[in-house]
Amino acid sequence: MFDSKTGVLSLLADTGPVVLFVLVILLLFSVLSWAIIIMKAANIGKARSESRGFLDYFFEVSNIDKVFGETENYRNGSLARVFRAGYIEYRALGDLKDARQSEERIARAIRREVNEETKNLLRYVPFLATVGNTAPFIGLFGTVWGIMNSFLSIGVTQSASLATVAPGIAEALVATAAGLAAAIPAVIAFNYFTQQINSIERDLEDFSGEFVKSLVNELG
Amino acid sequence: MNNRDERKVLDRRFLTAFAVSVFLHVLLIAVSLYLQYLTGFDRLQLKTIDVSLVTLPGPGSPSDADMTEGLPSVPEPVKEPQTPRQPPVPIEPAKPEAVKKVPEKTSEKPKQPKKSPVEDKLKKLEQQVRQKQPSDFERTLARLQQKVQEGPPSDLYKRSGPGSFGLGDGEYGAPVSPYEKYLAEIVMIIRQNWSFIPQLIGEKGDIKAYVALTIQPGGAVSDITFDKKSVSEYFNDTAFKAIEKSSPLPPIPEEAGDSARRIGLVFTPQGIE
Repeated sequence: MFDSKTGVLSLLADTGPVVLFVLVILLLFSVLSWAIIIMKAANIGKARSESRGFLDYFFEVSNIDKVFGETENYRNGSLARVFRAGYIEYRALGDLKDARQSEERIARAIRREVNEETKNLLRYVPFLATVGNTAPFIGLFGTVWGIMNSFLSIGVTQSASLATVAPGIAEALVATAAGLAAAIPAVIAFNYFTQQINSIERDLEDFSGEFVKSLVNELG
Repeated sequence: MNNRDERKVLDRRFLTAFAVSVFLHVLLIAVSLYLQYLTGFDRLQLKTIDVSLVTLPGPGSPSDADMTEGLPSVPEPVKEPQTPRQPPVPIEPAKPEAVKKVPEKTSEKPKQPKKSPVEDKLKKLEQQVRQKQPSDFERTLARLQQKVQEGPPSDLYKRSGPGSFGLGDGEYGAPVSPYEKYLAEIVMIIRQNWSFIPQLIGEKGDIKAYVALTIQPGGAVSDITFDKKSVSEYFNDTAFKAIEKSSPLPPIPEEAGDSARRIGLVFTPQGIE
């Protein structure tokens, strides 16, 4: 297709099957990690903004029934979902008069929801760490393999000139470049998401006590 | 149930994100291909057809137009072959006259008799050298002879039809046989599979690799040998790989017979002859 054979893609045309396999794996890693990045950026962004909105409403309105009604507008907010779980448990208590037992049950329900919420937020994120850690090594493997073949070709042609060695090495280095291209965004996204999820988790732990208190007060 | 629904929603979101990611990657690859095409386009324009005087093509070859420019220079000297020999003849009688005149003008007369026989011999030698200096015609002839000596190592590289492959039928109306068309086609295929970085060859002078190969009737390539290697091992290696990569070639046309054919290709940085 092209007469000039200097582009990166044209380099791929001459690569061996192992290097090509490595490149396909890295491409798959990259596609998956970007899919996770896109999804998580949307999810975590929504969870944070809606939690903030819900919290403002929660402190504004003292009636928990009203607050519960408002949670419908914050379906993606983590705090709203935790409150919702606590409220459902509070309604399920029925005629239970023992305040201590009621508090325990509400607290347990809220803790369960906090765990569930954290799990949901963390879902797929460890894959980013895996890509970030392994992709450079996979790329390096492809490069080592390519350079090995390049040196073998030196033996075949019996010439160690730069002209003989350089093209093979250039082809092989594409694998390392691909590995780094897959790993760098994954590592950046993993660090960012972990920090954001930790922040949401802290908020959940801080405010779950508040929710329990407000629901127990309603019982009293 | 509620959790299941949420998971379904999450999975759907993930699939959407996955589709977006695939689209982004395809877009990135397409853009890089396009950019490569843009940068490669200029190089395509710069490609020239290497016309070798050694592998003189027959009439009707695409390179005939170029060849005709070179041809007049050869017959012109042939028409007047005596002209280059004439100059030495008048030089000899003219020189003595000049020698006679010079002493008349010079005031130092005693110097003339002082001229030693060595100087005379030197002058004669100079004259002989001048006589022996080749004319343009002789130089062209010598160059041609040299090229013939440097030329293809065997008859495999001589073409009766199209000289430099690949650009269609000749301009001079000579019919191109199916086998010649087939040869042009396989050269195009090998050329497409040939990848080398010209910058890596550097300036190593005349780079030409003469490669012979056997094409089986079914198109399989065998017995690839170098009749003459170029100075660049890298260049030789890429040429060899290109042929290997092109196998199997299209089957030999029936009109050309059903036996295996051995052909020779000349690889130059400008293309395949």
